[in-house]
Amino acid sequence: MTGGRFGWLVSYPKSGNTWLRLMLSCVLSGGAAVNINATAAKTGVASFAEMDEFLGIESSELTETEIAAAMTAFHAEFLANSDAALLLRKVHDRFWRTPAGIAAFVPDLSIGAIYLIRDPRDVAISWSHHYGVSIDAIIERMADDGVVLGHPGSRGPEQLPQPLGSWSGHVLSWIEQGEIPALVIRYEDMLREPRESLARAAAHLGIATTTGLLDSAVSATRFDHLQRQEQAAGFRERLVCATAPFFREGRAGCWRDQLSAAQIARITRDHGAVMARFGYL
Amino acid sequence: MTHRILSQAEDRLFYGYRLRTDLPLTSLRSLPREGPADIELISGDVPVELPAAIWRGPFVQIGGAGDVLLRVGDHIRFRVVGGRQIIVNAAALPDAGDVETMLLGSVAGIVLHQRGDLALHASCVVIGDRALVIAGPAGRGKSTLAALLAAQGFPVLTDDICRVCFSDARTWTVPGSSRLRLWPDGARMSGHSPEALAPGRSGHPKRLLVLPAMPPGLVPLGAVVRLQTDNRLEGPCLTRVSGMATLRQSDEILYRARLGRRLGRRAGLFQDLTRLAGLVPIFSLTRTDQPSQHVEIVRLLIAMMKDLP
Repeated sequence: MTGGRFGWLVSYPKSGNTWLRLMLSCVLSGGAAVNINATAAKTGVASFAEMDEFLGIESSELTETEIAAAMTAFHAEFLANSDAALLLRKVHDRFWRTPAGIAAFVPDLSIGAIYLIRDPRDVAISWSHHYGVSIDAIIERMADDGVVLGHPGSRGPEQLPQPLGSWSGHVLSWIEQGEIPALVIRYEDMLREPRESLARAAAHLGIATTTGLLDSAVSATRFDHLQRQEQAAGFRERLVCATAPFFREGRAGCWRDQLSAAQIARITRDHGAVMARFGYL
Repeated sequence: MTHRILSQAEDRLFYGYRLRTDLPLTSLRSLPREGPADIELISGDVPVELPAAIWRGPFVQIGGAGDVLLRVGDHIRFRVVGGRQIIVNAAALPDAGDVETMLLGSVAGIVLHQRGDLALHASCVVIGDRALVIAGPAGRGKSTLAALLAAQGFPVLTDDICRVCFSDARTWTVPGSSRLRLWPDGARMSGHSPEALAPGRSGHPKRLLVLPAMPPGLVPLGAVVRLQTDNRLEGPCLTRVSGMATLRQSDEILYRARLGRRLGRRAGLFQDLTRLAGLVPIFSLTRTDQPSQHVEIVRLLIAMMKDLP
């Protein structure tokens, strides 16, 4: 192993993860221009192809239990094959353990985690556009502790299965795990004070910054810049079934005029305790 | 200690080699028993750990002499020695389906690397009198495309691993496994009910579409198509790759490139790929993940093969 470690960029889907990794990648590259299609791909979610290569096995022939049991070795081998001191990695998984009881995200291999949290009422709207399904279906999914992303039950997936769980369970799994230092950043704060949020995230992961570098990264990743890039050249991570651009609105509080009273009540009922804890109620 | 299942060992065609097997492997073409075998498959006691391994992962361990231990679950273990002997753990034999799936996939890849063969991560279909090699990493739809082409009457030469060899300044493909391993959507797309197909491994969603095995003999390689996905496209895009671009992302078309390098194939793989790129047209097929594009993709591939000089 080279001595490098992971910096986990963790979030429930559609909570600002892509924006944060573009900002941090910009800082790590010394403030270079951001190309959404090139930069984002370097920090993407773990795939079957990577597991095949690093562990020498046909991972799509493995059961979910066998894949889960191999996650720690997979992460160790990933690091062993990188010469970076810090490897940023996007994660949608909740904090989970392998069948042997070991944390899938190994503390010894981790510098830390940034946990991005967003008002679940806005998450529901954004995720429904991303998948092209109804808001009600997404609200149902956000309350389901058994949800797994990249579930290999149907189409051949490229991403490894990612245990996601409910929105509340996801938040609590990361902030209560106590093994990897996790810094919670609210998406709404990142919108309001991007420079300060970025500085906190960089400091937590041990990334050296300067005032100029932070300013460059914030400027290069302004939401309207990202939107323009997507309009001009598209974005690889946007799903074909999506009903809106990936960089859609980039604002907080859409739920106030886009959710029905019943939908707001359902989300509050499902997640009220955690929402209150993070200032959403 | 060995445990014989068949009363007499049988000879089967295994990626172009004569495999003498103690186990019934009915999906592989039977060969008349004659002469020495290239590879011997026997059952025996395979240890959980390889002594003095120089590389250890959760599924694969490499010994100092290049022998490999592959293990999955509690009992499924293979030891592969010199590309000439495969020992399957006797305790795994009741899981015959799982054993066969591993044997025709990951174990075959190890054997080919040990023997110094060029193994592409590809499925292969014969169109006209030439082979179309459909290459790419896991999840890109290689087997599904092969199944779609098979549904139009084109014979499948191999699934997932394609052995390529060079002879007389030409490039040839070698028949491998004609058992296509399909995710449920892939099965449906090619006109099969997933429920009607057997699983490749017990409790696993992937299904087996068992097609007639190709006869022995090499098939000239017509073209290699690298599968890529890009959801920004409106439709599939097939382009010829040339120059240095043919070697870019070459690990994506090799079967377990990293494992091959660990087995001493670093220089050999590079030389083989360079040779391949010099002899065979290489194309890039970029598409979205929309299943509805498959009809157009199949049409493009057939037309491309027919247009080859």
